Order: sequence, then C-alpha cells, then structure tokens
Amino acid sequence: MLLYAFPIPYSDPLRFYALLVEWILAFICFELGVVFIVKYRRQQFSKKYMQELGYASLFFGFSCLWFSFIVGDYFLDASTTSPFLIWPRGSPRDLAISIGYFSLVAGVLLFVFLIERHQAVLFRRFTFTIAFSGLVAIYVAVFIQDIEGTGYLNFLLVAVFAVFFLAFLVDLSKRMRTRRDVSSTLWRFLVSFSVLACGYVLTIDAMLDVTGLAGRTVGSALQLGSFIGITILFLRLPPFATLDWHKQIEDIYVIDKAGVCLFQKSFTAKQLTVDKNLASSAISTVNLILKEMTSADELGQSTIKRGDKAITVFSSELVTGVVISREENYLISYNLKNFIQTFEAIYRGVLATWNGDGSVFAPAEAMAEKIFKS
Amino acid sequence: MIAQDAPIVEIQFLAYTIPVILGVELGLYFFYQYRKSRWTKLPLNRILLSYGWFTLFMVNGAFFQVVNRLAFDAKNELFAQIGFTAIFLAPIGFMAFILIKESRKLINLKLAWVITLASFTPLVLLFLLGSKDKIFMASISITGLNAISVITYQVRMIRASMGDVRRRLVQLFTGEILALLALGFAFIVVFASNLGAPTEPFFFTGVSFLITGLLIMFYASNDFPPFYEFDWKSNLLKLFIIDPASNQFLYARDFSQEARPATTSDDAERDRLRDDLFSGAITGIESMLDTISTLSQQRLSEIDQGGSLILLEYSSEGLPPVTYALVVAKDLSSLRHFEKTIKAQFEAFFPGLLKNLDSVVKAGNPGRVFQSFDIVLNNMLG
Repeated sequence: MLLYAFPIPYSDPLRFYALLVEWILAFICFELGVVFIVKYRRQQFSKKYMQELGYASLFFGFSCLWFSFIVGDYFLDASTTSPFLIWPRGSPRDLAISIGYFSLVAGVLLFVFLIERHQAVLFRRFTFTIAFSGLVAIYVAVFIQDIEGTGYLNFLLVAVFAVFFLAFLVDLSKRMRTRRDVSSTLWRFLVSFSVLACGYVLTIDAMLDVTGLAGRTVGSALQLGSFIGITILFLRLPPFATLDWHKQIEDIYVIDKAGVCLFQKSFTAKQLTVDKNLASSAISTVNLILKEMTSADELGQSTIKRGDKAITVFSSELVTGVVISREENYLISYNLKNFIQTFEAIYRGVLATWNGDGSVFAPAEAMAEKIFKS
Repeated sequence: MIAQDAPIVEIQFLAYTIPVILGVELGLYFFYQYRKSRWTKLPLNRILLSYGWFTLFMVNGAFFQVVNRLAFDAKNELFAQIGFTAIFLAPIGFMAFILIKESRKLINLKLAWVITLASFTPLVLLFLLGSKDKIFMASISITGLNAISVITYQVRMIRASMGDVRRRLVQLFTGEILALLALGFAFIVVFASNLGAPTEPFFFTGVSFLITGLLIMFYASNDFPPFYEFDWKSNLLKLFIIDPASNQFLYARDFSQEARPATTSDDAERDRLRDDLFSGAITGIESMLDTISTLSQQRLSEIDQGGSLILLEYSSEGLPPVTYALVVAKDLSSLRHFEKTIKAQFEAFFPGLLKNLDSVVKAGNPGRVFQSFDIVLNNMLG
C-alpha cells in the first residue's frame, strides 16, 4: 500500500527538480543507446560484433523505464479502479510503470542474448538466455493475471541479471592487455554498479514513503552519475574485434636474417599447401624489398594489407616474426613483438651457432600457444 | 519557483533541456577531440575549440533567456544579462581561437580582429545600460557582423578542404545554420509574447530546429579527423603510376624533392635507384605473396613501413591494369581521397592512350607521353 500520493503534486517544492533530474536521466540513457548504435555501425572490421547492439538495448530499456516512470508518477492518476481494462483492478499509473518494466526486461533479454550469441558466460552458451526467457514468460503470465503482481519477480530478474553481468565483466576484464588493466576495469565497473544499485533503491516506491521526493531525486542523480561512468568505461574498452585478436591469427613464422624458417605455427584447421620455407623466404624477400623501397630501418614493425588479410612483420636484431591474420590489429603487433623478443632472448645462444636442426625450436610452440591462443 | 501551476511551462522547460544537454555534450566533445588530436601539433585543429566554445556558449546563453522568460516572465535582469553575455561571447570566442597566421588564406586577419574586438561593445553597453535599452539593442548588429565573419570563415574553410573532412565540415555548417535558425524563432517567441499571442507553436518549432541542428553537428563531429587540410600536401612524398605488365613508370612525381632537394649527388642517385626499384617491387611483392596460399587473391591495398605508407589503387574495370602508388608520410583520409582523384583524373585525361597502353609502352619511354599529367596534378595541388 503506497502512502505517497501520485501523481506527485505541483505543490511539492521538489517536484520540478526531481522531474528535471529524471528527465535528464531518461534522455541520457536514450543517448547512450544511440552512442552504441553508432559505434556498432562504425565498426570497420569484416565481421561485425553485435555486443554493441546489446549495450544499446540495455540503455534503451533503462531509458524507456524512466520515461514511463516520469509519465506514471508525474502525470497519471494512481487511484485504483476495479475492473481496470483487462485486469480485475489497477490504475493508469500501474500500466505506465508496467510498460516501463517490460521495456527494461526486453532490453535486458536482448542484451543477454547478443552477448551469449558471441561467447559463453559462466556456463554453456545461451544458458542465461534460456533462464531469462523462462523468467520473462512467468513474468508475462503473472502480469496478465495481475497488473500489480510483478513486483517480486522484478527482484528475481535483477538477481539473475546481476550474476550474468558480473560473470560477463570478469570474462571481459580477463581479455585486457595487462593484469593492471584487468583489476582496474573490474573495480571501476563494480563501483559504478554499486552506485547504480544504491540509486535505484532510493527511487523505489517503498523508499519514497521513507525519504520523500528528496531521496528519489538523490537516487536519480546517483543513477545518472553511474550511467555516465559505466558508459565511459564501456567506451574505453577496446572494440570486441580487437579483444578477439587471437581468433584472427592464421599463421605465425619466425624467420632468420637469411630467410630460413626457424619456426612456424598455424592456428587454422586448413593445412599449408606450400612449403613453410618457401613461404618464409617470400615474406623475407618482401620485407627486404620494402625496406629498400622506403629506406626504412632494419628493425621495427611493418604491415601489409591485402584484401581481407593483413601481414604483420616485426624485425628484431636476429630474427623476424610474421603473423598472417584476418584483420590488422594493434594487439597482434604488440603480442608479436613480445613473442619475438622472448624468442630471441631464449634462443640467442642457439641462433649464433644454429646447425639447421629445427627441432631445437620446438619448445617455442608452447610459448606461441600461451601468447597467441590464450 | 518554476511552473508551479502551469504544466505547459513545465513541458516547455523539459523540451528545452534536450538541446541544452546536447549542446553541452557537443561542446565538451569538441574540446575532447581537440585534446585527443593535440599530438598532431596542427594549429588549425583549434577550429575544434572554436566549435566547442560556440556551441557551449550559444546553447547556455539561450537557456538563461528561456529560464528568464518561463520562470520570471522575462523580468529578471541578471538572467537576461548572463544569457546575452554568453550569446555574445559565442562568436567572439569562435574567432579568437582561429585568428592565427595559418588562417590568413581564409580571412583578412586584421579586419577580423577589428570586428571581433568591436563585438565587445554590446557587452559593455549591456552592463552599462541594461538589456532593455535601445542603444544596446542597436549595438547587437556588431555581433551580427562578427557572426558573418564566422560564417565566411567556415565557407572558405569548406572550399579549401577535401574528402572526408570537407564532408564533415559541410555537415557541421549545416547543423550550425539550423541551430542558428532557432534563434529566429526565439525572437518570434519574444514578439508574440509581447503581443499576447500564443508562443508555444513557435517555441516548439524553434526547439526542433535546434535539436536537429545539434544532432547533425554531433553526427559530423564523431571521430573528427585531425585537421590537416592546409597541411596535407606536406605529407605527400611520391607518386608512381606503373604499368605492371612491363614494370615501367607511366608517370612519376617526387613531392619530397620539390620540398627538400637532395643535398648531394649521392643522395640523388640513391633516390633515383630506389625509385627505379619501385615499379617492379609492387608487382614483385604481389607475386611473392601469391606463393603463400593462405593469403587471399585480392590486391594489395596498403603497405605501412614505419616512417612512410604506400597507398595503392588500381585501374578501373575495362581499362588495362595500371597501379597507382602514392607514398605518404601519414595516413590521412584527405590523401586517400587525393589518390582516388588522381586515378580518376589520369583515366579521364588519357582515355585513348590507356586503352592502347600496350602500343604506347612498346613505342618506348611511356613516361614522356604521360608527362603532361604534370599540368593536371599541379592544378589539383593548387
């Protein structure tokens, strides 16, 4: 039973300020949805990653929720009538608020689906999508029976989503470049979501009875701040295509200065149809021609783009590393440099007196697996 | 305080909040873009600061006027003065950021400075005489002159630019004009209000113009490329147009030599040898890469070799194969556009010769035949 009177009366001195904050919150959530749509459309990779659309649906869901709150709480009548439309009892405010929750639930469901479409989170792929869909089905059934009866189900949906989102964040953070990136990304997300949760609690009807409109205004402002924080964090994350750099790698070669292949590893199922030494000689020659053409330094990085493939070359003091991949990606360059410098440090002594026995470089396979496949 | 008993005023307020949010975000986004591109050390990137300042001050100035009208029935002098100050400072700030020597190709700097400094007159009169004074009202025309400078500068900047940057500048300009049209509706609202006529239709039309204009500006400003537009030529190094069948140059131009001639004859000889290698090298690289079966059979599009970048284009369908290789110092969208234009111009200038390329090459020294492309290229370079 609500003690607070809805719609919030014009006589309440805080009405205008609370409305303004909530309006800004709803509009900014909508804008954030648009930002992710634009980000999705501007992806320049051959394969488009749908996660950005997932984020957009989440923000659009929140935006609709808040627009519905504004309409329901500030402009619509909250007095219950019996019967109300198809329900035994209810009010226009209940209907507006329910539409808002439905939008949020739909946005969240789409988000979970689009994330799981690309990767498994915690369990097998689509586990959360199925669980969430089941809950949504129950939610709809309850809603049809009783427009006021979905309140407790909301908490269950929030709990399932929280588990999913936490697992997703942990997975996302693990793919950052350094350990420091992992912990800082995770912590920032957790702080932002804690603030969001606190803000949300302050805006629920039960709290309105306790804290009044002032508490609700503070709650909305906290949510606004946390949404902006979360968006900045999302936008700072490298594109998913970049995070998936290891899936783009096809072949790795380590070539000595004479063009002899010291080590080769293929990450695709198809077998090489040419001899690895022929391929490495070709790459070595290309590298040599390029250096001659552009009078570039002997050492350093170069990239050749050809159609939908990229060849990344890193020339070090004793050896040259080459990665053939499906996209140009700075994480590939970064990890290739890492790999070659480690390779050179380990085999420096061997390289000076190498007698042509390729098996001596076999342990580099594990190193390549660790760097390029983890 | 505000809209205690008038829902329509409350709704007008909420509607105007949207352009204010967009304007503030856009202004800050321009500043962020400037900060992001500071490493390029390009003076003309200050145009981003100009846009940021202009948007931020214009939208907030108008906001104070709206608050004054809706909440205080246009009687609060402090709000009026803050609003007018912000509106007047918008074009002043815009010009102040870009009145630098690099802009002299676009605008008469002395005249622009005089107009910009004169634009402080309405500000002084505002604080001396108040916002309702007729002399102050008349002095607003000086700000109008400054606004014309702002528009002239942008139109000339659009003419001087090319490619993606030009497209974005046109979009920014369109958005800005739409947003400024909203000011016209603001004046109509004030007049209608004085005459006791309904103001709401004009108010909401003006707000929709403002929102549309700001959205267009947002779209244009997204990932705005560094503003190299008057500097892109200095990033051109070499151009080679090659017949891959015979590995002969059809046309070659060394932009770096024009800017910095070789200091010794050894340097010149080394450069010449390197260029001779170029014609066969591109074909050679393609053949070498063909030996690696995992690579696609598509053509090379770009070679990034540390200090320089080779951008490659190939002849249009129906013409014999010709490779266009532009060696540049930086990967700029303007340069990619420039290379595409070179290809289009070359194909348009020599359609007959290109169709009979075999016989031209067999006749010997094709470079001499295509040398007249110099004229076209010089025109393109301005």
